[in-house]
Amino acid sequence: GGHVMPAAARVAAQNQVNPSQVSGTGPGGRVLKEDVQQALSKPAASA
Amino acid sequence: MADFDLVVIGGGPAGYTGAIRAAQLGKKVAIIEVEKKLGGTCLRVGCIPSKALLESSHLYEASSHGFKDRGIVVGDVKLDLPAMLTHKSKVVDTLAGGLDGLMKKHKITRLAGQGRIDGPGKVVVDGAEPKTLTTDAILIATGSQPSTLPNVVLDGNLVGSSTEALAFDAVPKHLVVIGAGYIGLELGTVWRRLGSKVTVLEFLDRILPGMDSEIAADALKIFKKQGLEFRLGTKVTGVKTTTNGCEVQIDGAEPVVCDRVLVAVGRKPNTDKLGLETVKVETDKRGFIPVNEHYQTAAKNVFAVGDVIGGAMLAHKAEEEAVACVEHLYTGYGHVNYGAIPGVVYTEPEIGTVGKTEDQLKEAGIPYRKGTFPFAANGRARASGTTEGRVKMLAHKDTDRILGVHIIGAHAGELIAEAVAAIEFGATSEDIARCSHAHPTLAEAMKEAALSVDGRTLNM
Repeated sequence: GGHVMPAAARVAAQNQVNPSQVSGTGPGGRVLKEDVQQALSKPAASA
Repeated sequence: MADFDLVVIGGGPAGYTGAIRAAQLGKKVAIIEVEKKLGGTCLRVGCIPSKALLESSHLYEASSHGFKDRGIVVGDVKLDLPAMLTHKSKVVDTLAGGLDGLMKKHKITRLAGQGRIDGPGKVVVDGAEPKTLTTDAILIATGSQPSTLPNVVLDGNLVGSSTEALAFDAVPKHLVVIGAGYIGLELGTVWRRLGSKVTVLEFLDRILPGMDSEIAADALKIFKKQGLEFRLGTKVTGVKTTTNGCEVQIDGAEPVVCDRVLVAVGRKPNTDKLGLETVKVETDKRGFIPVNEHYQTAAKNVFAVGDVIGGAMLAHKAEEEAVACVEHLYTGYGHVNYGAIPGVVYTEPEIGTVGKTEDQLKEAGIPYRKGTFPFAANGRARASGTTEGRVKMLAHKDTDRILGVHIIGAHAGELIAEAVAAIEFGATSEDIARCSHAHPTLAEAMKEAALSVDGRTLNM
């Protein structure tokens, strides 16, 4: 993923999600807070 | 059960911000402050009073010399120094009262006295009637105090720190400032505007150590033009006081005779009487309290933030640390991005800076491109008559990501906020260049500097 926005970093850390594994939909692939929320609402993908 | 979830020692920006954030998270909090007023150094004898005097002295100078060419003719402008100092004190009192209100609003217990740790989970308030509190966690936010040089004794009168220089009862005829950092330059500027001859002595061969050297060189030229005198590469070996004033002794040169000395060579952490030994916490060589990435000291439930742990001694750095520390403690997540903490010098023009300096990029071998734009080419600056200075933007050569922004010019302290947000959000210079900036505003200089990174300024 791209650059992780500050609020996205907070949501990711508190939910033990690696933000670099989240696909960013922000400008230039930036990982937005809503991208992390979206990733959390989906069932965990197998690695 | 302990009396409190968190006891905060120190009522400065770190302490009161940490206390409020913990209370917001539902914790039972006490704050201990040795001074009568909350607010710490910043509010009582730092940021706020210095800004009040900077603004008042600027108005005095502008009305004395700056109005005529704008078509405003005033009679003799007189200085009423006691009234200027009273205004400053009122500002401080009002803000301190506001902090008392905030403590009440958040149901934070406020205790007056010297806070002292007395073993794990125990804090003594040494006041008129000492009392012992039990607590689950302790946050040390005891701040810093002015430091001095060997053979220079701060006597609280003729040879003083910033505290005294915020309250001189008369305008010094000749003020010597030792140290050309932001405190020395700000207070030197205040008294120069009010009529003092001001000589700044600096050990290094430049001013504003740590800031971008190009911007510091611009600043030196401007401050000299304003009438500050500088002696760089000058080592002060001692200060003597005489019946008539002071004599500042210099290595290899004649002493400088003056009537007041401001020692502004740095600040040192406050850890005396804190009882650190009772929780087996040791300070480092320079007296700072070592902490880990979550601001935890060597003792499990003892944390420390702000000036007392070192780093940039800035009020907003202390506040960020306090919030991150408390949030990590109670929510599991807290973070400070030290790469995006701005620094501001509140002279006229102001200097605002964030991120890496050009010197740091060169040293680290990071490839970069540079854009600059002078306020002389900005319409709003022309209209306001504040054409000195420029915006300088540094971006990565390959990714275009903004690495540092350095501004010297009117309102640089406000303008830098856009650059802070840009860096925090990983923006590129093109991102800023593609953002609409209102016309005519000083902020357009930021947009033009961003365009200049790619060699395509529109208005120069």
